[in-house]
Amino acid sequence: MEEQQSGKIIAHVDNDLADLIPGYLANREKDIAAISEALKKKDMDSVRILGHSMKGSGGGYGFETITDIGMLMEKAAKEGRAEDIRLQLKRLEDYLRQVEIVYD
Amino acid sequence: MSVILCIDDDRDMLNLLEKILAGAGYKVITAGDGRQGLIEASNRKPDLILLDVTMPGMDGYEVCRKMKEEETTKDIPIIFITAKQQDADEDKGLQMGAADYVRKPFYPPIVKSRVRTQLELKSKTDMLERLAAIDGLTNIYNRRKFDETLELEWKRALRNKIPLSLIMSDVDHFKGYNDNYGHAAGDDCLRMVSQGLKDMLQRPADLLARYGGEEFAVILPETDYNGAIYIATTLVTGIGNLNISYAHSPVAGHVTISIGVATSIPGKNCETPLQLIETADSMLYVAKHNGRNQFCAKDLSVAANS
Repeated sequence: MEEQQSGKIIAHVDNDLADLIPGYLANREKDIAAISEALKKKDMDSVRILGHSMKGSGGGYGFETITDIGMLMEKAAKEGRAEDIRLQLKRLEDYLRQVEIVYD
Repeated sequence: MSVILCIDDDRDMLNLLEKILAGAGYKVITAGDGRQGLIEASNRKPDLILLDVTMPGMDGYEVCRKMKEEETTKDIPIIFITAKQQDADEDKGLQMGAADYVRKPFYPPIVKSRVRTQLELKSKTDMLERLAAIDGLTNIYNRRKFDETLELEWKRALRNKIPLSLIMSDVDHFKGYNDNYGHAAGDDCLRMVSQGLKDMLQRPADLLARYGGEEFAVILPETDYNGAIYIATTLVTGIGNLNISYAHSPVAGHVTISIGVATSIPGKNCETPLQLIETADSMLYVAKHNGRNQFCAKDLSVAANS
C-alpha cells in the first residue's frame, strides 16, 4: 500500500520482505540505466521486457506505482512510443527518490 | 516438507516467491529459465511448480506442454504466475493442464493460499491413486495395478526388444489351510506370504501383486529365463523357510507355494501379455501337478515349441 504526503511517498511493505527491499530498489536503478541505454539504441524489445518485469513484481513487493510504471512502459514499448517511455522513466526516477518505506 | 519449484526469468520475482513460500514452511527451488526448469522438475520431482509465462527462449506454455508430456513430471501440478493480463491467456494456461493461474502483481497471502490448496489436492490425489493400486488385505499391489504395469512393461520390452518374465504363484492347498485354521488365520497366512515375497524381491522394478484369492504374480522387467528361474527358486525356498505352520499340509509341515514362470521377448513367439499370463499359468499347473512346492518354467523367447 502506498500513500502520498507532501512530496513524499510512503510505501508500506511487509516486514518479512525487509531484507529483499534494498536489492529490489537497487535493481530498479539498474533498470533506469538499462532502459536509457535501450532507448538510445531504439531497442524497444528490451524496454518491453524490463517494463513487463516491473509490472509483474512491483505490487507483490508493495510498490504499486512500479507496477503501474512498468505496465505503461511495456505498452509504450510495444507501440514504439519513445516519448512515453521517457515519461515513465522520469516517473520511476522521481519515485525512487521520493519513496520512503514503512515496514509493517 | 513440500518442495516447490519456481520458474521465472526475473530474479526479483524468484526472490519474492522464495521469501513468501519459505516463510510458509516450504522448500523452494528456483530456475531462471524454462530449460533449467525442466531439468529441475525432472531431477528434483517437486510437489508443485510455479511457472512464469513470458520468458526468453522457451516460454511458460512450452515448458508446461513439455512437462505434461513427460511421464516423470506430468502429474506435478503447475500454477502459472504471470503478468499477462488477458482472459484468453488465462484460458490458454488452464487448457494446457495448469492447475491454477495467478496474475502478477500478486498479493502474497493469496499466492500462499492457492499454493496450499494445490498441495492439499495433490496429496489427496496421490493418496487415492495409492489406495486404488493397493490390495486391502495384503497391502501389496492389486490386480488393477498388475494389469496396468504388465501392459506398460510389455510395451517397453517390445520397443526395446528385451526380455520380460512373469511369475504366477499359488499357495499350496490353501483351501485346506482355511478349512483347518479358519478364515482369519487364512488371511494372516496370505499376509505373511505376501510380505515374505515382498521381502525376497530386491529389485525396485519387480512388481509383486495379489492376482486373485491366494494367487500372487510377479512382473520381472528386463529379466531373462535364467534370471526368472533364479528368482522363482528364491521364492519357493524362501516361503518354505518362513515355516508358517500347516500341520495338515499334504506337501510339507508348513505353508508352501508353487510357481509358474514364463519368459518372453515380446513379439517373438509371444504376441500378447495375455499369452504370457497363460503360459505362466499353465506352468503353474504343471508345477502343481508335479507335486507342488516347486516351480516350472517355459522360455518363449527361444523357440515356439520349447
